Amino acid sequence: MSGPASNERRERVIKKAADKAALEMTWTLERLRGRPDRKPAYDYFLKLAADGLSPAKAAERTGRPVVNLMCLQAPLELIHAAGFQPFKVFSGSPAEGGLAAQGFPALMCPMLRSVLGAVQVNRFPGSAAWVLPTTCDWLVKFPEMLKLAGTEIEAPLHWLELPHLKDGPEGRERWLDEVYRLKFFLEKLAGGRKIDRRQLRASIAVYDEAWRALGALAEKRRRGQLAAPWFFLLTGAFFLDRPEHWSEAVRRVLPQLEPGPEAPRVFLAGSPIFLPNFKLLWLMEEAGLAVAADDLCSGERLLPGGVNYSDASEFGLVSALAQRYHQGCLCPTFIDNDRRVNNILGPARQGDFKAVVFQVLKGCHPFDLESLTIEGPIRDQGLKYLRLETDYSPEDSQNLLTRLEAYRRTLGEDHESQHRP
Amino acid sequence: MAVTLRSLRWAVQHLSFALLIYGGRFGVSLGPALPCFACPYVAGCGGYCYLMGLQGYIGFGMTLAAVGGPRLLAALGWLAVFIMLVAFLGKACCGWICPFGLVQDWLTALRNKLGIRERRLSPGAKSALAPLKYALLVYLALVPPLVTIGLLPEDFSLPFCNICPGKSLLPLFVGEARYLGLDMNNFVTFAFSLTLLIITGLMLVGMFFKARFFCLFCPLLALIHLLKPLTVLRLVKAPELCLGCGNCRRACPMAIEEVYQEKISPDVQTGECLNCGACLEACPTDSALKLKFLKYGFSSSRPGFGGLEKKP
Amino acid sequence: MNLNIGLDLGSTAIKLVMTEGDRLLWRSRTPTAPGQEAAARRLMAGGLAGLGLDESRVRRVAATGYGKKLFAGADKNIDEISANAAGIFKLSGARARTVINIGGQDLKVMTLDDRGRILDFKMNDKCAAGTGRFFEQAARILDTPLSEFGSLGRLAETDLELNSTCVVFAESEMVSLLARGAAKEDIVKSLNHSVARRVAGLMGRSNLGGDIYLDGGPAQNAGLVAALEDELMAEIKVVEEPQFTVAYGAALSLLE
Repeated sequence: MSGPASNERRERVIKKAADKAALEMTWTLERLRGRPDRKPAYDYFLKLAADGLSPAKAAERTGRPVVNLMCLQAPLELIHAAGFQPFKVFSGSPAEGGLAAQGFPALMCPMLRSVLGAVQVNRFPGSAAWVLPTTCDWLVKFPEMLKLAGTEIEAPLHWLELPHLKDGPEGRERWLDEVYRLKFFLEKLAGGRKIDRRQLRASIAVYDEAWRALGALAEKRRRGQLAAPWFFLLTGAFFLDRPEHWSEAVRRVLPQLEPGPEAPRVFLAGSPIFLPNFKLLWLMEEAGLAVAADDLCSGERLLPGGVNYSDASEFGLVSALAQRYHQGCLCPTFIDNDRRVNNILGPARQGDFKAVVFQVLKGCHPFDLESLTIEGPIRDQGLKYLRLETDYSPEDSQNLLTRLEAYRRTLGEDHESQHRP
Repeated sequence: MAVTLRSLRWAVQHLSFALLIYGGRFGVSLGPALPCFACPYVAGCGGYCYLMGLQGYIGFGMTLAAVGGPRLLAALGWLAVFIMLVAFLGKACCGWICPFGLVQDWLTALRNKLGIRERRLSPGAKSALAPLKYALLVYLALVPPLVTIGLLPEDFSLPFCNICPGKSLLPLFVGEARYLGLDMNNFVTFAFSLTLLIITGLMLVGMFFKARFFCLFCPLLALIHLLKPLTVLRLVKAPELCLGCGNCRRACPMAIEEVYQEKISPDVQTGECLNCGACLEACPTDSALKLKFLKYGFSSSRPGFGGLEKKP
Repeated sequence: MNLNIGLDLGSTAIKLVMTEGDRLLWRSRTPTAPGQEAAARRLMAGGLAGLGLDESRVRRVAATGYGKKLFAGADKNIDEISANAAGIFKLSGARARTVINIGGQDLKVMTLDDRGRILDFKMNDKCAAGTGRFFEQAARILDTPLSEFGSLGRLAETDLELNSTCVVFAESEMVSLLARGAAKEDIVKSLNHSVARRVAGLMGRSNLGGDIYLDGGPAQNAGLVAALEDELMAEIKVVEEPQFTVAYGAALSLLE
């Protein structure tokens, strides 16, 4: 079944998926544009997203060759200091996922499935390299799955072997070796130009500023002044332009924000939410729930930030980056990760929210298990907990909405009872 | 820009340095019971390191003639002053006040300026070195009485000062290089001055390549830590907020591991902690770490994250 | 007389109750089919005719269930979990603490406090295993009306093992059991047990305190109730006409 006819059919199917994915993005952006809480300062981000989530666009906009990344563990500052624009590859598109559906396990990480589809529709051309950490099994098998899907990535691929123990010196040392290997890889990719400590410090300062802007944004949301779909639009646009521009654009947004409608505020935990798939965010709003904070790697954990160093030598800076991106990471893929729940319980104690919604993307085993292990500590502190298992398809929307509505009522009653004399 | 803890500390350290090294020239005299390396060998200094007093008092105090005499009363009085200062200032004596601490911080700043990497000790080496400062404390307490009862010659009466790099280096700031020379007076003075020269050389190298290298050996730091139950300045932690990121360890000049590792107890005032507060500014989690003075204190916070120069 | 109406537009049937205050005056239902709004209106008209009242006596209408947004005439929409909890709590005389609902295409488990407020709930995701849909399909394959499942199961003599509660896989399993000459009553019993296992699995480590109630259409199947009692090792209560609890709860919500 090969030959020009089947090739043509393949082309047609791929084009259809690409068109549909573009339409999904258009719908999401239209829905955002039509909201009453839209602010002029959002236009920059809407425009970035409307131009397409592609590294080619990011390269054009930043004037730097792009290095594609997945997950959070490759230090952005290192890539930036080498003269590249880091670009996080992600997809929330059901259409792209649908393209890759055939021939893979039914219970497969929807995010990876959609990224496979996105590679098939050639959404990530023009990047100088791919850097992948061995975060989870789906990612480890990514290149093999690409091959099965009859496609491949054209740029050089560099693996970072992630030590799953992070709390002690052993994992720290091994990860530092990996980060140094990444440094050498990037230097070679840049034609032999060395990354010096002056560039590293400059890059650390650039991403530190972005991290501070992100923190200010999260703080606004914590105070009920920023709706979750906007927050995830802003974080979703981070890699599409120079980080300096993004930070400035966020700083322009901040003064325009104002309190939104009163709603029970929840912490959103679990698997990430990516453009254009804001299904859960829309449903939460529809059910009358506001996201006060999150620990999604596509949300508040987008940037590790906070890269402090007391040793300003090149070695000290690279070590600081390596440690911050490893030991400071709260991904459930790590073994010694028991303090992750503190990130939820801490702000909860300050009264920012009284309930947690945990999203599990079907097939995402680390988060699936995490949803069970953190339930106990969360409930022990008197917080409400709702675990939702879903994927990218819209067909379970009604089911999710029913649960979210009922959940909201359980929170609302608490709310009322508190105001009773 | 808001005042960061780091810039505040830097300012206090320099003020303290000026006061303790040059204060005597302007009539400042803070007495002989200071819990830091305000070296008495510095001509015109503003007060004296208690370690010198301690060696002296223990020596003279042992003589029967002094019992009940004014010297014993004075010794007890200064001990009380020392304890009160330590109770009040805690390890801030080390992190904020000690002039020799600042000299070490200058060397670290110079190394950073030159872009030379810091050599950190392995946790194993650190724990092997940890008892040394207590051994030095025992040494400086036991030798002077031996002089008093005549078992050792007079030249042993300040056994620690004689090998302390504060004695060789701090007088340099008032133009006095004499303690770097060899004292040929007799064999004991010669041996001491040679030892001091060697220690000074080793320490200079150590302090250049490793932040606060001398503090790893300092018997005064050990003595202050022994008085910990009396102190009101403490580094405390809310373990239920800590995410275990390890920023505090990286910021710490003493590379203390226990602060991020602690999961249960709020007490993270460890033996080598200098109360400098670097960990506080490096901690991106609101209120996870606190430098507490009685009920007042600085807390870590994400907006207060400041372990980083803003301009590259 | 002022009537409140609760409408439960479910995936299998549309249920209607008419109440005055919390007094239940009328209940009726019709299978779900395209044109749900019209079907619901017909139920309303039928109810009013049955009570001998005209439309002006209707005070407010609350809609719940998957189709609640399809009914434009509702004064209030309420989610079916909250409606379910309110309905069964009232009907149980404030005794229900755990509620298991088997609906047309979903399973729900709720735990309530002593004021009927939901403490926690669980619900299956989009898979319809072990739901009303599963029983319907079994009824079709076994060529036996659902209403006879309760009595049939009690006649069972052999313990068959039905491995799947999956609507798709169970079909072929049942067909092959029939082909091997298995008795219908034995198959029904194994069906009940396999659904009971699925419910118990959903409940997981849920705390079973106080009275446990089962409602939804399949709650009329006494064999299922018995199987569930075995599985949970606890007594399970069923109210009269358990498929109307959700609609009744929706009507009660109008009193809030």
